Amino acid sequence: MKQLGNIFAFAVMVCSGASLSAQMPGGVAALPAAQTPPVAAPNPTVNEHNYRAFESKTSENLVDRLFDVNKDSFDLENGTYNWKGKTFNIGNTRVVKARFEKYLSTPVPEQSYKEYKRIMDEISSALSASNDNLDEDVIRYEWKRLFDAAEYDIDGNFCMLIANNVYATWRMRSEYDIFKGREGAQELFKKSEETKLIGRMMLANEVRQATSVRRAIKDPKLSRHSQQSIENATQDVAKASADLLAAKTEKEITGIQSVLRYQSQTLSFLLGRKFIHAQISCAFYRHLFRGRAQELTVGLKEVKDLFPVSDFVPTNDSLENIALEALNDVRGGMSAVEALYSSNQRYNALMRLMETFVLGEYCMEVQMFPFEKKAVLLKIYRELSTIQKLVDNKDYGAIEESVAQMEKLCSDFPSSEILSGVKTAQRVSNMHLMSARQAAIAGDAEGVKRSIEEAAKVWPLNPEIAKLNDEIIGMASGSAKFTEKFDSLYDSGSFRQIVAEAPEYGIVFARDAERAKKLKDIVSKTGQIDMLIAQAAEFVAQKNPYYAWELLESAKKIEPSDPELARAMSNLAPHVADYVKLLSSAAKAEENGNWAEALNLYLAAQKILPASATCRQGIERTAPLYNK
Amino acid sequence: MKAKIHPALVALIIPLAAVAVGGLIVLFGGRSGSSAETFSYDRYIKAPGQLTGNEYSLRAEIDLLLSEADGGRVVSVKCLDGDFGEKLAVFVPNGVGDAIYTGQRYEMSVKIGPKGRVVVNKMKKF
Repeated sequence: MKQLGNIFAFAVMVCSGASLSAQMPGGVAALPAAQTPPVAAPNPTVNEHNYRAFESKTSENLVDRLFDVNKDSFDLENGTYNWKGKTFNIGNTRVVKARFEKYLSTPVPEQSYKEYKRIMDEISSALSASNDNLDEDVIRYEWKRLFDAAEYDIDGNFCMLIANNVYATWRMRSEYDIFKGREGAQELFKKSEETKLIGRMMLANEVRQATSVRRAIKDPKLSRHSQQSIENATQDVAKASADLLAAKTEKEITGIQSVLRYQSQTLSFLLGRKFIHAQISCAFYRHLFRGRAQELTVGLKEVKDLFPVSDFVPTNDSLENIALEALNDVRGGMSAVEALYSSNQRYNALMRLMETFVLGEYCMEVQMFPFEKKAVLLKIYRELSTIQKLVDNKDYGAIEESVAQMEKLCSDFPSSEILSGVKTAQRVSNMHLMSARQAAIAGDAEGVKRSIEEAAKVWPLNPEIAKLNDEIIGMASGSAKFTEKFDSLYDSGSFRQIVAEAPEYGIVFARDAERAKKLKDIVSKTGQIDMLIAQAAEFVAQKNPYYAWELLESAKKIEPSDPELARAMSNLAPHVADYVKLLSSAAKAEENGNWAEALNLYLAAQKILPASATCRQGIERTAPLYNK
Repeated sequence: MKAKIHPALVALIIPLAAVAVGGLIVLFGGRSGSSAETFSYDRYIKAPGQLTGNEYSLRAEIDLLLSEADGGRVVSVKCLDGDFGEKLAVFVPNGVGDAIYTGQRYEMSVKIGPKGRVVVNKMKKF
């Protein structure tokens, strides 16, 4: 059952995922708008209903158990996917479910997947780290190949984005060069202005030293001219310095802009799980930028969150490593899917495909999974969704049918675990109904209500609930009928019929003390009569019919009209006819007040059965009346 | 002419006559001088009402005192005649038999009263 919980948890996780843009928690604002759809809040209602089914501790634990490969896990509370210590925000997984269903039901692109892969491999290989100091022409050639790759539908035009980014970098580099040239010119101009200032200052100093102080005093204009000239030159130098600084700043800004733009795009590829494009982008970056530009300046906080390691300096290479590792995982996952599918373990193949899809939705290996296989897995997936809905609705009766259907689709489906969970739930519900029935018998209306509520909580569609309701309604309407019938039978002395339905009468008269007492008397008397009849039969078997008759006479005193007793007596009467005749005559004489006659008849009967209590009592009764 | 009786005949007649007289004495002289019919238990049990008003002689043995009743006692007796051993309840009025004990044997004169009552008129031990 836990396994089912895993399945459902994952399915719901897939259901409730928004976009797989894989944004970093808290880093949404740092990414380009096109790559950052809003993060939907986790859906607590869905979680509550789906994950509390089947005693699962938490859906998170279940998913962890299923996908615990190097700590990969889905955090359904926060809507995140943790892959090898890196956390991706998957947000509203309902959209992800829709995308997964769409993926399963979409035919594979008809274009040559191999040709596209060949282009991507070629670019990746040509720009690999081993080819340092690559010729600009090679880079430009590989850049043009990006346009070829973008022609394929499977690419989704992401190669075009990389190409545009590379082109923008080149353009910015040109601007950078222009600004760099301008900076050089400004540098020269500044130097000339500085030289000019130094010359003027030296000239002024020589004038001061060569002429006498007196002459200088007599010609103050000369002194003032020199001073003005120095001031002007100083201002020119200051202006040249400012212009140089502006040129430098413009150049630096252009460089930084270029780096920021490129790194942002690469990071958005990575966080969007477009790993092949992230890797190609990183490869171009390595050859476009050098030195300190290899260090990451964009999304530092987010990348640090990806790598929870202190003193970690994120670089372009580290991003490429993540992309490559993810690609390897996706390839491994799809290999597992293929292997499981081939070995007819289609349920497990679906599980692995769902897991791989979350990470490698945009990877070629996932996209190119054969359509006919996807169609088979889609059937299984839809059946799983049906079972999930039935579990949500706690429709355990229908689950059994769906599980049987699922077993036909995939032999490795863990049906026994599911069915045992279903049986457990059904049993618990039925036990509550038994309590409700007992409460109904005891007339405990509150107890009935409480137990039915408990039963419905566990299994709302339990058919026994409706049956019990009918029974309870029947009890209410049947109670009056039973009472009427009892009174009628009691009045007619048909006690045997009452005894035949004694349990039902007992239930109905639980709160009718008067009738309950009558019922108890009838049952008790009938029991005594039956016991005496049984003893009489034993005496007959022992060839002692007179004693048997005596017992039946005793029974007759308890209930003279009992039909079973009458039958027993009529059967025995031929065997004790003389005795019966005497007793009968005695009783008749006694009835007529012929006491003497009755007494003598009792005495005659007593000679046949000396131990007869009937005779003894008859004698004792009639003797005192003999002379009356 | 003189009739002569043969002495042997006389000798035969005399003993026969003696036996006949003795038999008659035994037959009639031993029953209190009553000439009543012997009580038939069987007839009584079958239809006591048909015997109402009749008188019978009854030889019986006292069995039990069943009850003290107004004017007498109800006693069960065992018949000693034809229906030997059958028990019969009879009413013994006061003054008819004062000292009655179990095992005593009596020759009784009984009368069948209404409702099957058997009333002892006279009783004599034997």
